[in-house]
Amino acid sequence: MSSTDYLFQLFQTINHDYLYSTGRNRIVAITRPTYEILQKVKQGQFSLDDFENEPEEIRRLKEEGYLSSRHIQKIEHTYTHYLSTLLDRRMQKVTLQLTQNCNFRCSYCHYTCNDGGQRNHSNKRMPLDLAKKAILYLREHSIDIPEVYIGFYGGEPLLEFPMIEEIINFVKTEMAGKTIHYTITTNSVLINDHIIRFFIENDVSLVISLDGPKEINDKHRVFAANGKGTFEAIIDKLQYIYQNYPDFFKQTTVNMVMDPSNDFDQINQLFTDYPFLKKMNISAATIDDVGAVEKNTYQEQFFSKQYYHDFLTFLYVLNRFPNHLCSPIFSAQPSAVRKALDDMTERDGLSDTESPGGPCVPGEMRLMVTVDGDFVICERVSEVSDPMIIGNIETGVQFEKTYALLNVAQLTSEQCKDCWAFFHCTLCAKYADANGVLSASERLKYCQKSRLAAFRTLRRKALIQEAAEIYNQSVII
Amino acid sequence: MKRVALYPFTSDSFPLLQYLPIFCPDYQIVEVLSPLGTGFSGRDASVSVNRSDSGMMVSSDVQKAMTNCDVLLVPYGKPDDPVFSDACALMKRAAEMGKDIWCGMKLTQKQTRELSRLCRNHQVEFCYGFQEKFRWRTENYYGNYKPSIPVVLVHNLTGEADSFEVTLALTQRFQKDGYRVSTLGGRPEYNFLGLHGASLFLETFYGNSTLKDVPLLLQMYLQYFRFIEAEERPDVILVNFPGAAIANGNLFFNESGVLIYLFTQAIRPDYAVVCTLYHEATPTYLQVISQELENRFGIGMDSTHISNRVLHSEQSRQKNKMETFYLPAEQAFQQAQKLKTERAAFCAICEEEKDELYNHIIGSLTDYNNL
Repeated sequence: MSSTDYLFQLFQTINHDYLYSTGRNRIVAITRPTYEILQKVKQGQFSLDDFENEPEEIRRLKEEGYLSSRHIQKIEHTYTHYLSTLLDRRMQKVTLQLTQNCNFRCSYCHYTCNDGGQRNHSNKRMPLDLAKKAILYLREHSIDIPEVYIGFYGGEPLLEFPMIEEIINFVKTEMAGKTIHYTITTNSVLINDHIIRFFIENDVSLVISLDGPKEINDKHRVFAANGKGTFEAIIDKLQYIYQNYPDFFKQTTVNMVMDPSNDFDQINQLFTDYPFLKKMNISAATIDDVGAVEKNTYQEQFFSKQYYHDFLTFLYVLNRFPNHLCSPIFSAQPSAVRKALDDMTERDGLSDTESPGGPCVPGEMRLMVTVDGDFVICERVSEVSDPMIIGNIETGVQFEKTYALLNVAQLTSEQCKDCWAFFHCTLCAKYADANGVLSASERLKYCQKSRLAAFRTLRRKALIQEAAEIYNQSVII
Repeated sequence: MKRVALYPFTSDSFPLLQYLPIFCPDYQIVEVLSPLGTGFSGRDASVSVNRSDSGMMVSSDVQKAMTNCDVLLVPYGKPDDPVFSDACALMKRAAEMGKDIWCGMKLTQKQTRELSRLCRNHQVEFCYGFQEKFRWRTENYYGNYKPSIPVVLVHNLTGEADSFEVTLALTQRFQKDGYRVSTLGGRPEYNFLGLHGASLFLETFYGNSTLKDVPLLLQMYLQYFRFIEAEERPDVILVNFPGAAIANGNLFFNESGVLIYLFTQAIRPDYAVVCTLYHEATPTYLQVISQELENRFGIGMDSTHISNRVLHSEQSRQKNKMETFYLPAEQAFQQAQKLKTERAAFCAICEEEKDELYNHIIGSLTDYNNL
């Protein structure tokens, strides 16, 4: 038997040694001798079936299903059999790509040729009729849910503000009786009083992109017209909203795209220079270079400092560090930890058919309609990649394509079946997209990163348990 | 024959389309209205529950409907639900136009007074589903009560799974065979159908403080049952509890059968129909659940209704509330057939299955010489 016959992972904290059982999706504290035996099993030096006198703890772990040689036979997403119903009745969001034009030229943007020239900024805009059709499509395909989401996306969607007004007024009539949540992702420089008042009146959530202090933001984000930095223009708008619409400001989110070639502390400096930004919601991620020509370069210090701040935030979660000293960049971290732990639902064991984490139901969760009326699974993937285009406004969603995306793990079936982090996988179809083809080798490139994230979740769960059990310490989340 | 307009129509009010004409033969639903956002307008009402066509089309033309009806029926719903946001204003307008008002939506005291006065002024009927038409006597009784007639309990396992519809279907079947049936339930619309939207149930389900005083509640259950038994002299009593009997994993809170537990401390039912969301369950699983229910309530699962409504566990977890969707009804029917070899499982939203469920109840109760 090989080491993958038993799916588990081992890890240690300062207090305990732990076993994570894939089948039970649960961590359990184990003794050091058991840990050492299992470590040998993991390294392929020993088999759990080779004992002459099986240690009591190993026997118990086997009996309770923590150590089981049962394997997944088939990979298929749980909702595969419900797929056509979900597409027909539970569509939750439509993101409208109102324009491909933008007044910025951000170097990491796929429209600025960072995908090898497949996508370009253009003057293409969504015809109003098409936008209305997309709204009606959402209405007809969301009859089982009382609330839906409508996103405005670009390019820069505020270039088409009059169309946004028309769409929202159309929605008020045509979607009466349904709760609608609007979001708009913008660079903010076109915002004015009229726009803000309209957004407040219609409860539109604003997401504004700002990547850091001037020298960092302006490295990537410049005006299309003159190539000059955009920082001053954005921060002026944010200050204006803060001073004149404080309640709306608090509900607004700053989206930070972090370039890991910078010093993390430099990026974080933004909140020291402009403390009023701490009052906003902050969402931060490193530049998404999946499918990009220019890949991220990483500075060692970026990681070490990022992990340090992450650690401080975790201390806050453990109620051991004041929140106001944590980096706002990690302000969403406590809820992310909570969600990761909540998602770790205990299982009775592995079934013959299972599906790893990762994909949402394509077309149900966050369908994007392009300026041409194509349906793309979400705004984060390449809209010119054939597998990601799952239909269009005239013909609707193509079942076969959504099936392939939902079951993208079937591409790497053998590897997935042997992966201890099976239920913690974060790889959706985007990570298998190799220039317009769903590819196993492309998907496998991201496995290590996904497993690392899973490993951190396990350790955090253990630490939170220990905080309660050993230190008698309540946690914040 | 009075013409009824139903507004706002949602999947929860679908059973009214089927059963209002049966229980109220002097009334006919002529207009099924729903705000545009529900996506039902221009489609057959059955699309709301993913079944085959009912022949009732949904419209959003409230203006036209108001001229074409004698009664405006507003079904049960929460006033803060956007789909009900226009309902109060529409009831006022309808009253002014001389239409009778049947209101199953929870109103504030001020709204109730206002509508009541408006209806009086315009000499139209105001029937508020949260107000039962009679009161019961107040003697004290003690101990667990076993009525002299059979009591059939209909409740949901983990979430709303057609228990209202199943109760109405069973009431109809009992009546069809000539039995006198008293039906009590937690939906205010029961009061429109000549059944009991029992104020006692409604108050405990929808936030009255009665629950804080458990002995008082048990006493009230006893009094209520004895009153119904004496007053209506039924052959059988059907009791429909909305809500859920057990929690759904760790997904979200529900009342986890607290109300059913209290009820079964006062009244001992003879038969329980447990309505479940669609689930690819095995007979063994149902057996385990039945045992669990028996341990909790003293009565297990005599039969199971399989709904075509499915829990969307991923979304429920994300949104921290129960999210569901409707599979084609045929799939629930197929699931019931699979289970039927070993368990009394039915898909009572299908006509022939209603009869089978009914026959199973009759068979079980007559076995005990109860009916």
